Amino acid sequence: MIRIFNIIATFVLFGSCGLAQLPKPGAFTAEELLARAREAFRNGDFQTAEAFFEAFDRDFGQSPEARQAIEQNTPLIALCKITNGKFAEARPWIEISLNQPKLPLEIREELSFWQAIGLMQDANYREAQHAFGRFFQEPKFDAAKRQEALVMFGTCYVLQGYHKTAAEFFAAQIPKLRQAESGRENAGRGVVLALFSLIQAENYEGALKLVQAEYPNIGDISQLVSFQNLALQLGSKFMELERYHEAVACLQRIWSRERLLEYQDDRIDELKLQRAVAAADPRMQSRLLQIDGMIKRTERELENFKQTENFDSALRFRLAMAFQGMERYHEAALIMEAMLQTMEPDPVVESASVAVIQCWMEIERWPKAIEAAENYLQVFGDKPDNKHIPQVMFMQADALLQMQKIDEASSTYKLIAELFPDQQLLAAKAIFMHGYTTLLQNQNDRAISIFDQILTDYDDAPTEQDAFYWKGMALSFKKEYQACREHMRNYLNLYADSGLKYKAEAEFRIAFCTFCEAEYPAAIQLLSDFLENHPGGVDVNEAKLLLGDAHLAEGNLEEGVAAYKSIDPYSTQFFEDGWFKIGKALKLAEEIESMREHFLEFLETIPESNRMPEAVYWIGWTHVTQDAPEKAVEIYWETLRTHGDNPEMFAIEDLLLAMPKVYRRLGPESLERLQEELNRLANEAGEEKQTLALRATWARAQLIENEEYRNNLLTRAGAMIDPEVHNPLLIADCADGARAIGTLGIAENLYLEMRKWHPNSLYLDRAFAGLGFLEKERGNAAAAISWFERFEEKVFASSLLPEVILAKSELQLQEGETQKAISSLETLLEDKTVSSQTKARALILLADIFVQIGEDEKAIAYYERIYLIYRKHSELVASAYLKRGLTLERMSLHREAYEVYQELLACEDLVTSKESGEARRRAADLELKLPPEDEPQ
Amino acid sequence: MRPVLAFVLLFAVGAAAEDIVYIKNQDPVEGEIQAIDEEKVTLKTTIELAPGQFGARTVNIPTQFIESIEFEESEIEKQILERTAEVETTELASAWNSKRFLLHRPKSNAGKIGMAYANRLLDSGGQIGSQTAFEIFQLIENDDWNSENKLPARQGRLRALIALGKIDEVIDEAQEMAEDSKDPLLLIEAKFVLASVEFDKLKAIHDEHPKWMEDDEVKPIRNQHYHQTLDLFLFPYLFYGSEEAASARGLWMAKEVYHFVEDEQNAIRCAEDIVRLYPNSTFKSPAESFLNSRKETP
Repeated sequence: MIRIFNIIATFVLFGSCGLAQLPKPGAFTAEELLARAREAFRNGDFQTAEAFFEAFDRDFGQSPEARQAIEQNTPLIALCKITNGKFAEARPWIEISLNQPKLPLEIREELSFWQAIGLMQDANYREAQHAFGRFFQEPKFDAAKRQEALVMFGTCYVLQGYHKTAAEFFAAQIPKLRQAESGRENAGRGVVLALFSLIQAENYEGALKLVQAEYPNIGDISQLVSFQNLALQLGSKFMELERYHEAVACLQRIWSRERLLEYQDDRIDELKLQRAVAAADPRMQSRLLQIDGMIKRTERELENFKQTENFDSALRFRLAMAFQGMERYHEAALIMEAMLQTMEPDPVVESASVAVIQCWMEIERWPKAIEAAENYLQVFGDKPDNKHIPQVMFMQADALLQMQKIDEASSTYKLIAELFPDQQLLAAKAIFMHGYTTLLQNQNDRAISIFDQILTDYDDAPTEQDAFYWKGMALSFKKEYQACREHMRNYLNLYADSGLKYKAEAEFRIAFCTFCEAEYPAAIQLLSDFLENHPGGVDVNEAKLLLGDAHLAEGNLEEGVAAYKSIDPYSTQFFEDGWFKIGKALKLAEEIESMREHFLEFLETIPESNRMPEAVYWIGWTHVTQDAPEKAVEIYWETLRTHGDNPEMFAIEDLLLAMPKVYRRLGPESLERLQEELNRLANEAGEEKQTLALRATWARAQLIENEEYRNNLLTRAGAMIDPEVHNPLLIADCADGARAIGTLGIAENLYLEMRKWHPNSLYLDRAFAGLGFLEKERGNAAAAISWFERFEEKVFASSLLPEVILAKSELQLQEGETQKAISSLETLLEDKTVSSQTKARALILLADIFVQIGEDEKAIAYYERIYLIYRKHSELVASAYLKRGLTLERMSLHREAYEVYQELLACEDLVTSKESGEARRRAADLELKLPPEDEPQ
Repeated sequence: MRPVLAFVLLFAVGAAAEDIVYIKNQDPVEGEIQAIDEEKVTLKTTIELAPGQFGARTVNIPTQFIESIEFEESEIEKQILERTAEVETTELASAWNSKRFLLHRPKSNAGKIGMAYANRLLDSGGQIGSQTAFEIFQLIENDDWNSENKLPARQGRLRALIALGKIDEVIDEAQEMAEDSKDPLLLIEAKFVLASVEFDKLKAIHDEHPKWMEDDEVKPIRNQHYHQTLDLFLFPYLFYGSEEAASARGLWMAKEVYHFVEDEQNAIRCAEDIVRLYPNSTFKSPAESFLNSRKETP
């Protein structure tokens, strides 16, 4: 502007000559008025300038000289009015100026531009567009300004609502604008306008393509916030249309508030630097104007953006929702989780906090769901009237339940009911879940009282019927069959009108209780009715089994067998139960041949059953009953030869373990014969039937009394093991055998492989214990303790536990962890299931520890306990006597020590022990030292 | 500048090879660099003796006067930088060996050639190759004049450490990077390294515990690694989705994880995301092939 004003000032100077001769109507002469106007103009005080020009026109406008002066000053007047925002008033002045043929090009250029702007300001878009068009087509005008006019030309399409045309126009012009010198900013403005137009024209694909294509040029866009806001708008539109991929594509390209502000602040700083450079160079005035416009636009936009609340959270939440819309709960949850970690709590963050729990629940990532619920309660839990809290707590409890943390889940349900008693429905549901989870923990009485509470306090709630039914189930679990039956009958009556949720289940339960009460005729009737009324029910096969049992109890063999035979083969357990019960019925009826046929059919039908050896046993039993034990043996061998090489049939091992019992019936040397036959079988099986060879060798080892030989054989068998498929019993036995003969590497490998391939095996205790024992043997105390600790952690009710604790205590003592050792041993002593021998060993070890740590008095008490309580374990008793004597001696209680030695020597069963020899020597020594006892007075 | 040098350079008109030596406060001079060491650059250049008459001249330029050198890329170098996959490993090694001493020289492309070679060594597997790759990456990270190469070199070094089994070292460094870095690209790379470590751990668990699903002891550990792997690989896609290359790479790796655990539905979803959201990425083509192979599978 400054440059153009200078040009104008020069231009009008020429036209001011001769004004001094005008008369003086007011305070100022005409010349003074014009001089003051021009001075104000030069100083940039356009309001004053305009006022002086107007005064001149008013006071002297009638004279022809003044008219001439006014005409000569029209460009100044026009510019004053433009600058003062009076576009309508400026227009005639601009038009007059533009009609002046001698108007310098720079002024013509400036006024032409403002003419177009003025038209646009007056909402005369069509004419404005023509004006911008004309401006652009004038090649003599400044190139940068022409590019700007081009953008304004397109803007007029937008303002007229011709969005499609505007979009097409910008699509064509943006590449050209970008190529022009200093045109990148104009191209950026074009991009924003094009995006706006495409959205308005509902050309969303085009808009998305533009966002994707222009994102790499984002640095050129001074109205970056507008661009990002439009992308957000577009993303939201795609969300509405459920086009989530497209929504993600838009939303991903939107920056965070912090990044936007930082970027635009930097940009303004940079523009200001550029402005300073341009201002210092008279040749860069046009660029200066352009930079001013850019700064103004960026600052205005930034100020508006700063007013926007929750921008980041709204953006991230939308993105998360887009992923949720695609059922991509994992992605949605991760976005929302990050929101919660990094953003200040606001309403959007709160909604996201609830949604994130739902997402984790959806993908069954329970620990995350629990964590998210805890976070929510921590951040928003104190907010008054927070309606989300019960929902969040419910999800937390459900997640805990899914993780089998039943106790915690139950407590949380209870807490919900206590915290929100006014929310009847919610509280009733929570208290019901509390009762149900209590029932899952086998606390039947407690569950009944909770269900009663629902029936009393929440009798209108939908869960009332559930509570009523489950109270009946709790009675059944308590084996209060009569009470359960009555309760279920009441249930069927009470809720008959309102719709029974558990009709079939209740009817079955009544029949079940009747059966349990041994009321068989009634049970037969009830079970038959149940089967007729609910042929597809879940309890049907159990009902058929019970019906068979009831018929047999009543002596109705035929009906009973028929009931068993009707059981669905796919209900494996009931089906097999039914089969064996038929066998039992045939046995009772002494139909031996039929019984054998029945079990032979079982072997043919389901040889893979775990109960296969039981069937073979019954077949054998029929032969033995008919005085043909050889035939009984034969059926075992036949089964072994048929299925013995199938590694998946773990029941073969049971069959092999049962064989010695059958052989014993054949005579005194039959077990040797069995050994030989197994050896032959193993040799015949060879490498081709390795599983059979393994099983035969293993079974043979079970018959060998010589431990070393047996363990060697097991170690040999271990080489044939394929841990992936073979029975973990075989692996554990072979590993134990290998460990016993000191081939620790082989044993270790077998234990580890067993752990790897059979993580839920019943024999896992042997793997953990075995690994601990072998590490102990290797002298690796820490590794051994670690395995023993894993044993204690993972294994439930193992007979190896006492051995493990003893071994661990010894190692702890060795490692100087005396207190831990004492604690382990004390735990062992408290365990009622531990054998007396182990307890005696634990006591000795414990007493030894007390000796070691100088607590002799405790030690002598423990030693005494051994020979008082565990008398039958003679080797331990002898040791306890001797150790007690030695401890007493160390305590200088020589007489007491002497008496202990004498007591040991008096035990006939211990007289040959090495401890007795030592006691004898000690007693002899003490005899010499002890003073004679005083005679009693 | 010494007068002789100035004189020689005054008449230099270039040579067949187009190495350009930028001399402080002077116009650049073109020629063929024949030797270079810490003290001097030996440049063969053409001198115009008389109008239309040219002669060759070799001059030693002390390195203290040199601002930078722009080396003409040989055919093999161009091939390495543009179509690495087509270049033999021996050629990569040879190119690196002839360039490595120029690593610190401004405008040298030694770093990029070194990384191409080190990446090849890493992809080929093997302990010795990984160790060499590690050393090259470390050299580039420390000495390359081009700061743009430092991040990929650091990432390459961490990958080499993973290949060498020095997982703890990697975790510590990547963790440090992830915690301290405010630079999104660095953060993404750190997380990618951590994700790769987690993925290796996941694979190891599946290998060592084929029945992990039935194993109450192992299952939670396995699940932790599985979720952590996915979370880390998806990080750029979810939080810096406009970083197209990193996002597509993360998605591709997430697809690999899903494929590994036989979650085909999610593997397909990741591949679809790549095709639809990152059509310009190098992973688009393998993603499409994967999707086509799924369509062919009944």
